[in-house]
Amino acid sequence: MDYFAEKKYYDVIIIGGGITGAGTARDCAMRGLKTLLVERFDFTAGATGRNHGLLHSGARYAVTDKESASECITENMILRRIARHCVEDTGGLFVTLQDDDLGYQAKFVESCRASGINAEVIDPAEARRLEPAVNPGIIGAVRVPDGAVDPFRLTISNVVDAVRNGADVLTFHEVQSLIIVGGKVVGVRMLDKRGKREVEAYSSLVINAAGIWGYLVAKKAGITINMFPAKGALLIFGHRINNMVINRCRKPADADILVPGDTISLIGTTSSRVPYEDIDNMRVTRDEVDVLLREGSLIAPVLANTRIIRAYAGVRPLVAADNDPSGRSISRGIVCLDHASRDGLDGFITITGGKLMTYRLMAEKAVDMACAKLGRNAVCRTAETMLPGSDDMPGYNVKKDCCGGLLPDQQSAVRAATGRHGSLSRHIVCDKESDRAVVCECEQVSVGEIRYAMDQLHADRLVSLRRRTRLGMGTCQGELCACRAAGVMAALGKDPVSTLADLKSFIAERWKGMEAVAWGDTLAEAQLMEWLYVGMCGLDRVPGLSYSKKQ
Amino acid sequence: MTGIQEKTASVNNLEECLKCTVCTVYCPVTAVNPGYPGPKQAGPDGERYRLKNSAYYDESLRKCLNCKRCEVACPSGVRPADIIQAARIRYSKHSPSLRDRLLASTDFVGGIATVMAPIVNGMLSLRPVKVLMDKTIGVDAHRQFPAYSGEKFTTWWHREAEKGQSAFSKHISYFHGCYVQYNFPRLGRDLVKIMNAVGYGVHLLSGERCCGVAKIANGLIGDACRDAQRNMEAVRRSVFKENRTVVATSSTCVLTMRDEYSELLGVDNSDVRSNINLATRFLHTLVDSGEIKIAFRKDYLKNVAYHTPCHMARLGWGVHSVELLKMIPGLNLNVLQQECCGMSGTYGFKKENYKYSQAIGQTLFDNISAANPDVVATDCETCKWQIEMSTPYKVLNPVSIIAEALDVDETRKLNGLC
Amino acid sequence: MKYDTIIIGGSEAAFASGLILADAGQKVAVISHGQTFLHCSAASLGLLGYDKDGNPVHNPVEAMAALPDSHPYSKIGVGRVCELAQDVKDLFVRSGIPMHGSYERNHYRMSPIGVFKPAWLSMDTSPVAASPDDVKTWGKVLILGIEGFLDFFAKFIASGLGAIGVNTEIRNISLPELSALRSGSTEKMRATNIARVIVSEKNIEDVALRINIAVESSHADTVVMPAVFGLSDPLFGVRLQSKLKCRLMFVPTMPVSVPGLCAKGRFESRFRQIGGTLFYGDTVSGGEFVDGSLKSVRTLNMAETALYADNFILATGNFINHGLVASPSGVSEPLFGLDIMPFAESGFTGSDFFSRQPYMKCGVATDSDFRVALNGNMINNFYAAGSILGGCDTLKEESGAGVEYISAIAVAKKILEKKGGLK
Repeated sequence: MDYFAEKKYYDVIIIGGGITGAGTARDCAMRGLKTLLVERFDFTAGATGRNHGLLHSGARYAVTDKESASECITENMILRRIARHCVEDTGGLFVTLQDDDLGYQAKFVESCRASGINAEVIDPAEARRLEPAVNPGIIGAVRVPDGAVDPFRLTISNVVDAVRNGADVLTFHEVQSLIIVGGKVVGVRMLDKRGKREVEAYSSLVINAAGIWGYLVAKKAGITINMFPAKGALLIFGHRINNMVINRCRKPADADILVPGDTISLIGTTSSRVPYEDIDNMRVTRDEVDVLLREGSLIAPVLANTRIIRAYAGVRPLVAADNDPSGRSISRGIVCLDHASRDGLDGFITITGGKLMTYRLMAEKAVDMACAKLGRNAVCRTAETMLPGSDDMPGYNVKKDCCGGLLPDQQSAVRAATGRHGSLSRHIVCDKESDRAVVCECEQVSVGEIRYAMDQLHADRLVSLRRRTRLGMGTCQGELCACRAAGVMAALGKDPVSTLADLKSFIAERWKGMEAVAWGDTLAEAQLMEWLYVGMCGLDRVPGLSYSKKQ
Repeated sequence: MTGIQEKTASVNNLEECLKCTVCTVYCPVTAVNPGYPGPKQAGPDGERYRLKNSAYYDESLRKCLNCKRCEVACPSGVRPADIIQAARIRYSKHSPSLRDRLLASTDFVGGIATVMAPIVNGMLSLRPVKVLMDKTIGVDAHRQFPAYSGEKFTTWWHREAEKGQSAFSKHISYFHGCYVQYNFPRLGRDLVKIMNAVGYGVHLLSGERCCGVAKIANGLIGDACRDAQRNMEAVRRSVFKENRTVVATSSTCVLTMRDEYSELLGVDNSDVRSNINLATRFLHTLVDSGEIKIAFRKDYLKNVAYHTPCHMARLGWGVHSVELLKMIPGLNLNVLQQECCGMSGTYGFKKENYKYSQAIGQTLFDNISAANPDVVATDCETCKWQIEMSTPYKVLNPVSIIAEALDVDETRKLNGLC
Repeated sequence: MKYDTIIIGGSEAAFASGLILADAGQKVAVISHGQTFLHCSAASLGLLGYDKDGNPVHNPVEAMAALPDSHPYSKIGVGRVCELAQDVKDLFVRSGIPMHGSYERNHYRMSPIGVFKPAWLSMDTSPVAASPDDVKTWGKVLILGIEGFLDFFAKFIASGLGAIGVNTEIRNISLPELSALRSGSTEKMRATNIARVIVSEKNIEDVALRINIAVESSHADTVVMPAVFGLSDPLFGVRLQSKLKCRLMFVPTMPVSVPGLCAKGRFESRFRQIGGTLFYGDTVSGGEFVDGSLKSVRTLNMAETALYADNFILATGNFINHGLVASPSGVSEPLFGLDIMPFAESGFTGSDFFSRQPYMKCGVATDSDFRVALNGNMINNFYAAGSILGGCDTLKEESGAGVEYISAIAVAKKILEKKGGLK
């Protein structure tokens, strides 16, 4: 049935399928607003899927930005509750290296305490015992409640809850323009990228939650927001090097955080301004890789000889204050703009700035503003309500069963899936032998899990499957499983020609992250990938996607 | 960036895996036991998950034979079997049963059994005893026990050989292992015969303990470490104090002492590793370099099929046994395709493994039948038990075949001993 | 220990040169750090499939004339390549693997995703046709998958054949013999594991019965199945075909490939039969160079025992096989630190995965006889063969197998032609 066969009216249309948009959609839907969430590609395709996945304690900002630090620790505690299946309580260390100033540590601890962050100075020997990967030469260590959070899971869980509360979601719909009538935004005009047609939806209010792309969205309404795209590059190592977050105890700088995330470890980040033209095609440079490795191996020397499976970069949406167009005093705080008062355009709100950690608070602020404008009197319940996947179910205790795999009789794919989806994994149907067949061996993704992601998590491309399930995120970067997954998708009814095109773009996208670190085993893997997909299969000879990012 | 990322070979040894899966093709267990995840999944793939959370450890890893064929097959230098064994040591919560302890304590049980050999041998072959063992402790009733010898090798050596050994100008210490000591002293006698003929005195390795392979396999890691440390002390005494290199006749004992001690038990052996040698390698290297000469009887005519034990393949030394056997003029040698016999030490004794053990060995048994030799030669005692139980063929260590074919007088002459 | 020739590496080139030399009476040893896993994966070999613009090549011999001087074929000489191409075919036939095709005219093989690529030699029951248009002679095609086996892409094959105008139908058969594999975890339903289960005459009868039932009700002229049978029997397909009522074709699967492993097994057992020595799972740890010659090599397993030979061949492959290793500071040959060919390309990698990747052309520096060099000095008894030669993009050209085998045989013959080489 054609979704747009009749005119669609909403209370709120939210633009942007990152964590901010998803969180805002959940909040709106929970407060009873009729909600549409629009994303031009796939959920988590922007900065949400391209960061550290660090569950900040706030300690990193304690010295320089007390407000952010306080927000972080508050949200940290909330996420540990409501998003248990997305969070891993690894704990974190702030370590002082031999050449660093130990004097900073005292200031750091004091600032943490002032922001309500439990920072405990420990003996360097104790730190080495807790986290053997840390540089043995550290002269100081502070323990903080850092953790790891999976942004893909967190986002999709918000989307699932938004839908459960009545929201509609559209992926691969790009907002072409805002429909403005009499100085008021009344809807959006979108390009359906797969149907290749223009469609419209109407609403009382549009919330721009598109991160750095929000600048471009606002521009479509003739509004300028002073944003500065800041590129941050990261490297993924092939397996877990560390089981605690390791930070460098100094003024925040390049490559000073090493985060354990699911089966891998991440070092980041760099920070550099990039022009808007580049934000859709971020490539990590050799110089950035050098900085990350040089600085990173000071924190954990083992990085110097651990296989890097991928390099990637995200773009932070940094916002300058309205009275500072030069961007000298850039805030990392939350910015919620009512364009009615700011620019005289009614029915339009921008929520930006902030960070992954504070997405819920950002959503709360934006929806508070939306409710005020719409004259609704509904309170925010997102801080108390469990996200789908983190709620217990009979015979399943998230804390015990999730991420720990206390299901000894289950095959590893089922256990891995439970770790990924929490209690949502009960929707994965693996009744038949063929459902239990494993597609991605590195990350243990079964046919059943793929079908679940396709049917219930809005995944209909390989790249979306990757974000929902970790398919192709392991050591081989999809070399072994991409073709298999494409075959499964086709067998489940996807059109074979577009699925092959999808496979082609997926492989090209995997290479994009491998190219900057194309040496050692990663080059060998890439050559094997080329051997398989070009040499053996001839995938270079099939047509590519007509709506891929790079055109 | 000096030195950074010049080589990526982590201590975990899973980085190098390109996911080609060729290891799985050569895994004997994968083919017959659906409950085993296979070397790639149980090894490098599973290790990534275990590094994340030890709860991802899966007791199905205990189904691994530790035959190490995956390591020989891996083109990227990954050692899946080592990863699997290390994971078992680190994470397994399974505590060894009485049966496992008995099977693992080859030296202790052997010591008692030798004293009572006629009774023990008789009993172990009795159907009611076998059924009882099957039902009570889980040793499969089909399994034939190796016979215990009435006289320990060391007893023989002290009585018959000891006083002549110091007359030689060159010397070795012999690590006889539990099998030669308790079950088959003849192999030790055969080695003494050969070594003496080429001018080497053979001495016991004083303080020798079981190499510990069965203890490692059965999860008795503390005991295995103690044995390993004692053995390394013994080897050091022999090498540094007595100036004798150490030679063994079992490929598995050698692999365990050379590689498993350091890789799995964390017992450092780097200073003496090169002085732990296998008899056929020791002999062949001496022959090859012209330091010794061996003469064979002209009337020794035999068809021999050589089976490379999995651990011999891992050592990479099959060539030495093969080249030595090829020197025997009347010997027609058929080198069998390398296959696993399925026994793998104590694995095949266990009731839960028996059917897999036999299924794994079937290809080898078929190949032996097709070759129809007078005798099968192999360097491993548990391969011998398995083949002798599962086929009508007699199995001998290459050392015993060389000893049989040896022209002692001529050899002594060639080596200037008379 | 002393050999006439020691070959380092377990690639196809290693076995090809090893077989030629051992056949000529040499005492040969192959030292390989593991099993090769890409051997003949496609069940077809390519000699030269595409020209520099990516257009299909019909006559490889004619197209070779346009190759640059750095190309291994150019170094060997086109005429010589044609002679050696015949030797490659013979090599397979002598090892019990019939090969079909000619170096003067490419045919086409169907890839696992239904793309037709030029090929030179193909095994029996390969999905081949004289031209893409000729595929229509296959008639109605039944694409027959195996329940639970994910490495067979029926929909893509149907789509590829459909685009040519071939009528297809997709079905699955369930083989009860495989139920144990299916119920097992993870790696079980792989081509090679299936092949280890389906081996007996009774299995063949059973498979044939199930195929015939499916063929009968679908009225197909040709049945296309994944290549999952015959791990140690290159004639499995022929035997199965004889029991079928239609034409049978095996589509190669992703590695590890059953026909590839079968061919490798044949090479290996013949190599042993004719007296070759194999050091499997061993790695060369260094070499002793004296007066411009390599005297001996040492390995990790052989430790103190050096392995001597009159001639050495390096056939350790490309980056995949670790014959070459890249690090942030450059490309090196890891075993001996041999000289690397100067890199003429502007970058090491290309940002578009599917365009030409400059790193593909990396190789060791060699003279016209494929002798390698150390610190600028040619080693007069040490040759390179196979993909470690570099100098061409074998994947884009579809020339990987040709370069692999032909360079190996060229080097082997060069060694035999040397004074005293032929025994």
